[in-house]
Order: sequence, then C-alpha cells, then structure tokens
Amino acid sequence: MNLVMFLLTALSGILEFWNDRLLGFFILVISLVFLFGCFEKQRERYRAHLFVGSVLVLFFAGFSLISYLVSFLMPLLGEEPKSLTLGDAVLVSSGFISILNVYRGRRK
Amino acid sequence: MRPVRHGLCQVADKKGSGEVRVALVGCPNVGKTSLFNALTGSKQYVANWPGVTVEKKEGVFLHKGFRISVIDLPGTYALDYNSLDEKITRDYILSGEPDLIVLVGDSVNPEQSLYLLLEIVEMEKKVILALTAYDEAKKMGIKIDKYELQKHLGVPVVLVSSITGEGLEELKDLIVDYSARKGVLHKVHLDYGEAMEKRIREVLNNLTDLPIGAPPRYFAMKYLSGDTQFYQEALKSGLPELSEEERIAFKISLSKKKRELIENVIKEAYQSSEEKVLSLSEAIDHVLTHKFLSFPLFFAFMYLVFKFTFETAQVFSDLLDLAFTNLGNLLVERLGENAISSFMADGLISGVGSVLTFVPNIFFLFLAMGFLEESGYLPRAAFVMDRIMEKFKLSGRSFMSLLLGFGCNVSSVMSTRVIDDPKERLVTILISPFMSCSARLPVYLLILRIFFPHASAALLFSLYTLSILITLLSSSFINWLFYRGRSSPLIIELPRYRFPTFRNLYLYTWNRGKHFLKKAGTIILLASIAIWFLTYFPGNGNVEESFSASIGKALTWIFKPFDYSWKITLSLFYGAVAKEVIVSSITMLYNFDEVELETARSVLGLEMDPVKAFTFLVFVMAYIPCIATVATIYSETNSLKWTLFSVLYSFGIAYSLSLLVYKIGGLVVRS
Amino acid sequence: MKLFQVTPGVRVKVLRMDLPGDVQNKLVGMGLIPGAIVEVVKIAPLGDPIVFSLNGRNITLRKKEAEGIEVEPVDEVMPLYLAMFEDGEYEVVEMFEGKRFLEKVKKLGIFSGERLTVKNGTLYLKGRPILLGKGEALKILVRGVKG
Ligand SMILES: Nc1nc2c(ncn2[C@@H]2O[C@H](COP(=O)(O)OP(=O)(O)OP(=O)(O)O)[C@@H](O)[C@H]2O)c(=O)[nH]1
Ligand SMILES: [Mg+2]
Repeated sequence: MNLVMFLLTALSGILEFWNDRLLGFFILVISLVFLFGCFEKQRERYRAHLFVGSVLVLFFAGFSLISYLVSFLMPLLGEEPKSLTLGDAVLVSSGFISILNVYRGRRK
Repeated sequence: MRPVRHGLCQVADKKGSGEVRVALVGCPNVGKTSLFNALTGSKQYVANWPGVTVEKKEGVFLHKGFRISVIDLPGTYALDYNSLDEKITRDYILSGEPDLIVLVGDSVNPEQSLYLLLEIVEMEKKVILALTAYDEAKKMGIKIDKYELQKHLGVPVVLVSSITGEGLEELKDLIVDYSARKGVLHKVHLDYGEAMEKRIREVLNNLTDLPIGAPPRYFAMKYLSGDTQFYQEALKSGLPELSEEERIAFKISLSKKKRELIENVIKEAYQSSEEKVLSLSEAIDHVLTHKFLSFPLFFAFMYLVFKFTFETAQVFSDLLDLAFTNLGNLLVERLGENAISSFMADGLISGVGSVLTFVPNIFFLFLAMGFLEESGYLPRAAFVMDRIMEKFKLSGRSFMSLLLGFGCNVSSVMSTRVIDDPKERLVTILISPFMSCSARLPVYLLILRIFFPHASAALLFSLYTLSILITLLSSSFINWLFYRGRSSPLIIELPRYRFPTFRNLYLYTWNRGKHFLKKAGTIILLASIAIWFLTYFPGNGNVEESFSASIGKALTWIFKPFDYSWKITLSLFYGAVAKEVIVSSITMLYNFDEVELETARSVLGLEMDPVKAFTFLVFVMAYIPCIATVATIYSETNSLKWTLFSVLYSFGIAYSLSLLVYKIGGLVVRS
Repeated sequence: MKLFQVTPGVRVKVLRMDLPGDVQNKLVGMGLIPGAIVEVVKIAPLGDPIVFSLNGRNITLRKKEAEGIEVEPVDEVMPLYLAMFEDGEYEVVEMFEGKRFLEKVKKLGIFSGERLTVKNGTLYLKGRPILLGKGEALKILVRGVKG
C-alpha cells in the first residue's frame, strides 16, 4: 500500500511541479513518507508511515480543493476562476484513498 | 495543641456564605484552562503544549445560588519552589485565599497528577481530584474506578471531559457541596516508614516558632528535604543546618514513597486493555521526528501555512478591498469633495479599511497556527530543532516561543515565562521582535503587489527567511555580547497528539483574530484620524502643505542614505505605533486606494524603484517593535535598560541591514 | 552505564543522578528519581536531544544532562551494544535479520546460545577478542549469565 501511495503522490507532485514549483516539491516530500514506509520491516511502523502520510496527503488535497472552491469567487473581482489541473485531480484522488487509510489506521 | 493555620475558617467569615473561591491546580497541559473555560464559559488561550497559561486568570460561574470564582493557575509538575510557576502556585495555595482546590489531573496518565495531589493533601488543604480528558481515556479503553481512587486517596474524585462536557455538572455540585462542608479535611497521614517519621517527629518537637502559612508536618518535611523557601525559614527560626547529601536523600526518599503509593493506587483503580501496540501518538512521532523526514516535513508544514495564508485568503482580501474602495467612492459622490467626505473616505475608510482588508489573511494565518498548536506538533518541532538552536545558544523551548511570534510578538514574549533559565529567557525576549509578525504582513503585501506583482511569493518567502536568520544571529550576538555562556537544558514533556476540535480551532482563531480587529478599531482608528488631521490641515487637502509634510521633511535626514521621500519616512515614523499604520499612512499620504494597483504603481513609482521598495520592506521587517511589544518587553523584563536596548538594537540592525540590501541591490540591478 | 548511551527500546532503571541543582530538582519533580524505570524512546534526527518515557509520559532531555544519569538495564535480555558497558559473561539469545550480517557473525563464530565475555569494554569469544560495529552490536540480543 505504501508503494501505491508513493507512486500516486509522486505522480501528482510531478504534475503539480509544472504549475507551482514549490507545491510540487513539497508534495514530493510527502511522497517520501510513503517511500520510507516501504522499507520499514516492522509492521507497526509500516502502518505508521501509511497513516501519517495519508493524513498529510489529506491536508494537501484539502488545501487544493479549498483553493479551487474559493476561486469560484474570483469572477466577482473580474478574474477567471482556476481550473482543476491534472495534478490536482491525482492529488484529490489520492486524498480519497487516504481517507480509507486513515479510517483503517485509526481503528487499529 | 498546635493550631493548624489554613485559611478555611477565616475565609468563611470574611466572605458571604454564597461565595466560593476555587483554584485549579495541575500539571502543565493537563487541561486546566479547558476546564476553566468549560466551567465559566470564558475563552482563555488553550493549546496542546505545556506552559500555555502564564498568568493567574479568574472567572465566575453561578451554581445552586452560589457564586463560584474559579482561578486558573499556570501548570506545575511539583510544588517545590524551584521555578516561577511553582512559586506562584504554591504561594497561592498556602495563602489560604482559595476555599477549595480542584486538582486537575490527566485521566490517561494520572501518575504525576496524583503526586501533585499528595503534595496538596500534605499542605492540608481541601481538595477535589478532577480527572480530565476522560473522553480520551475511554477511547483508549482505560477503565477507571473512581471509588477505588476515592478510598485510597481520601478525597472526592470526579471524571470529567471539557470537550464532551461529561461530569461537569457533577463537578459543580461537588464544589458547592464540599466547600460548604466543615471538617472534611481528613489528614491523610502518609506514612514514610519509621526512620523518616522519626526525623519528622524530631523536627516537630524542636519547632518552637510556628511556621506561618504552612502546616507543621509539611513544614518539617520541606525543611528536611532542603526546600528553597522553608529551609531558610527553618534556619532562621533556629533549626540546625543539614548537610546537602542528607537533604537530597530525604527529598528523594519522600518522593519515592509517594510514587510507590501512587503506583499501588493506580494498580487498584485502573484497568486498561493491555496491548503493547504502537499507539497513535507514537506512530505519528515515528514519522514526524523521523531521521530523514522530520526536517523536510517541517518545511512542508511551514509552506502549507504560508500558502494557505497568502493564496487562499487572498481572494477574500481582494473582495473586501473592492468593497471598501466602492464605499469610499460612493461617499465622495454623495457628499461631494469637502473636508467631511475626505475625512470619511481618506481618513477612516482608507486608513482603517486598508488595514481591515488584510483581516482574511490574518485569520487564515491564525487558523493554521491554531492547527499547529492544538495538534501538539509544536513541541516536536522544538525537539527536532533543538540541536540547531543550540548552535545559536538557544534551546528548542525558545524555538517554540519564537514560532508563536509569526502570529504576534506579544504572545511570543509572554510565552517565554516558562523558560526556566533567566538568561535564555531574556535573550529570547530581546530577539523575538524580529520574528515577522502578522501585523507586518499588510505592509509586505501592499508593497510587493505594487512593485513585484509576479515575484511576490518568492520575495515574501525571502523576507520571512531573513527575519528568521536575523533572529537567530541576534541571539548569538547578544549572547556573545553579554553572556558567552551556553544554552540551557531542554526538558519538555511531549503531549499526546490531538486532532483539533472544530470548536477549539474556532476559539483560537477568534481569540487571536479578535485582537487584530480590536486593534483596528482602537489604535489604528485613532492613528488614522490623527494622521488624516495632520495630513489635511492646514493645507485643506493639499498634502504638500500639511503638518505631516513638515514633520516628514524634518525627519528625512534619517534616511538620507536611502533617499526615502518624506512620505515614506513619515509612514515609518507613524508605524512605530503599530506596523499596520504604515499601510494606513501610505494610502493616505499618497491618496490611493489599494485596488487600483496601476495608480498606486505610477504614484509610488515616481519615488521608488524595486530595489528601494524591497529595502523598505527589509527595514519594516526589522525596525523597532510596536508599542504593545515594547510595553510587554518592559513588563516582562522589568528593566528600562533592556527595553531601550531592544529598541535601539533593532533599529540599528534594521538600518544597517537595509543599507546593505540597498547597496547590494543597487549594484546588482544597475550593472 | 549512562542514560545517553542507552539505545531506543531498552528499559533501564535509574541508579544515581548527578546533575546541576536546578535541573536535578526539575527532573525529580517530574518523577525521575533513583529507582524509576525509563525507556529511551527516540533520539532526535541530529542526534542530540533524546526522548525518554517515564510512566507513560514522554520527556525530552539533552545528552549533556543524560550524561549525569547513571542507569542499568532492567530486562535480562538486551542488545549486545549495551552489554558492552558492563563487564561480565553473556549468552547470545537472538540475532536479527540481514543476510550479510548473519554471514559475518557466522564467520566470527557467534551463534545463538554462545557465551561471550566482556572485559574492560572489549568483547571476547572463547578468549579471542572480537570487534563489532555499533550497528552490528545492536542486532545481537544477549542475556547476562550470573557467576
Ligand atoms: N480530548 C480532550 N482534550 C482536552 C480536554 N481538556 C483539555 N484538552 C486538550 O488538552 C490540551 C491542553 O489544554 P489546556 O487547557 O491548554 O491545558 P492547561 O492545563 O491549561 O495547560 P498549561 O496552561 O500549559 O498548563 C489542549 O489541546 C486541549 O484541547 C478533554 O477533556 N478532552
Ligand atoms: Mg492553561
């Protein structure tokens, strides 16, 4: 699971990188949490990486969702609202998987 | 017979029968303030790290016809008179002022709280044990038998939760009941074994003067264990000196005996589903303080806070800005161009409004900071950063205080009270104004949007980085100047991680944000009015002939090397009141509304090039702390000398630093 | 053995504390007294402060202060690395994974059940001195043998 999450977040990080260098970079940082998780031998620690990484992905996904929603107010200022980029889409979808991970992680 | 001198009977006489004073005592971060808020309905500062409350706070609630004042105290682990907090708390308990003490303990990890409870029992005070955060204990599958606790400890016990409200009514009933009852003060005699009891008896027999304010047995024990306060008092009243080893040995034996007792009590009263899995907090810690991940993650969090504050909030700011501009225009249209409409539009709306447009940014910043503080991440950041801070002669503890400075320097100066080492505390106070607080944000945003519409994020980031660098280097410098010592130890209890509740976040953000609104309604409003008058008269609207012009022109020599116009100089002068005032004065002096960036650019562009503009921001970042901060520095250091030093030092740094930026920038741009 | 030498995951008992007055007072107040059982939970990424757990609470401490706290392992079984601080005879209980590592130990002649002797901080196997790195010494669990 850590590997799947790593690939997903790394992908969205790379995609975001075209629009927003820093955002992309920090999403890549988050993906490292999963990457390191892949190498954990202890089961508890493996899950710790998955859990915390997922929470962090949720933060970032939540953030991009909020900025997207907020940008609907832009026309009031005479500006175009933002459009959802491919990177955002991947991020938000990994956010959905994260919700599952977090839910499972909390129950244990 | 020795009369026991605690305040119960006296207090009952002194006050009406319907009044009860209750003091909340407990370890740091157990949830005293949360309980205080839940009981009294106040909105005091709550956060998930030890040492949040630094001052006594009082609140009131009514219950069953009684008027109950609750006093929230700073948290302490023990009552040994070692630190300021311990002194405040112990003196207050012994003063006899509170009729009743509620010992707020942690349901999940009660050991230290029970230790504190036994101390208070030995002070022979009426006390109730309230184990809080009961909701968390339940979630973890911990079962607490409160009757068993009651039986062993001899005090009433309530299980409460400030979050769900469970047990609050029971606690209130108990407070009313228990305070009215007389003779409930069981002297639970903790038996310390024959050898120690004999020593205590010996001392009691030799005690001729009765100790003021402390029960004799407690006094004897404190004397034998070499307590800072009572040992000296005992010597004065003729008791013999003790060797240091003996004192320490006695103290440790006392502590050991208590801990043994507590261990047994917990064994009897606690039942937990015993499975040694990596708990949630440990799991989170494993990643957040991970060898390779901790630093990148810290920066990722900072970045997210930053992004949230500036980008997400920006739309709202722009909307507000638009609203204020339209309002101003409307007023001028309706009233025509005259002194009154100018006062309303240029003085009030432009002055206060220009600051108010940044309210969304500031609220979003506090929301994000609230999340960091409430989750319990702050002390972890301190732990991870400690090694770096040590290089600058600070500790992770001061790092925590400094981070708070991003919100407001006043709160960061206040929070230094829990730094035990007085030197480190002073240094932290002196350097904390360099942390770029939320009040400086409006200035940055205004200038950056005018001069660097495309690179504002990067430059903003560099300003913040610069502010951190100056803060740290100043610490090295001040240490080198005055102390040449090393940094103090880092002993912090890491709290459990908590997912911030919606209500807590809302309270935090509102509390902090309200302060900003209040400031806009008072200081900034007054300053705006004053500045409008100074700028409108005597030239009747002609800025060049106003009082402001005379003041400004008289001051321009200060910034000769920078070539600042008198208007910019003046805005810095006015800005000493509060940094936001710089924004108000610039918009008023140049008479532009912010939204019209083009006009602003053309007006300001006549006087400033980008290099100058950035230099200006560097200056604003570092120069003298605002009045509120200066006042706090004075009240916290209690020294005019250090306050003055802080002001002069920051001015000096700001001046030389921005001069450096100016010269280097000039070279880079012009070549 | 001093507290700062203890590796994460090992429970130790405090024997003596020799610290500057104010630090000692603070720690004693928090419950760190001779006889208390603590466990080092974590070492900071840059190697300095450590976190130890005491009665379920996690408390940070710098290594400089941890130097003044004398401790001894509580459990019989501990990493060989810690055993090296105390002269005596030890029995190998378990070795952790790592193919390379297991091969190396095999070559050295260390097997489960083997007796090792520690004298003045040096490790001996059947009278032969053996050199092990810190990482390797952490992967071998030993039990003290009385007598
Ligand atoms: N779940 C839960 N959390 C609580 C409860 N009471 C307090 N907390 C949390 O515990 C943390 C500390 O609460 P505070 O009220 O600031 O603690 P304090 O004892 O006043 O702390 P200091 O002022 O630092 O001594 C905050 O994050 C609260 O949200 C409770 O009953 N249940
Ligand atoms: Mg508090």
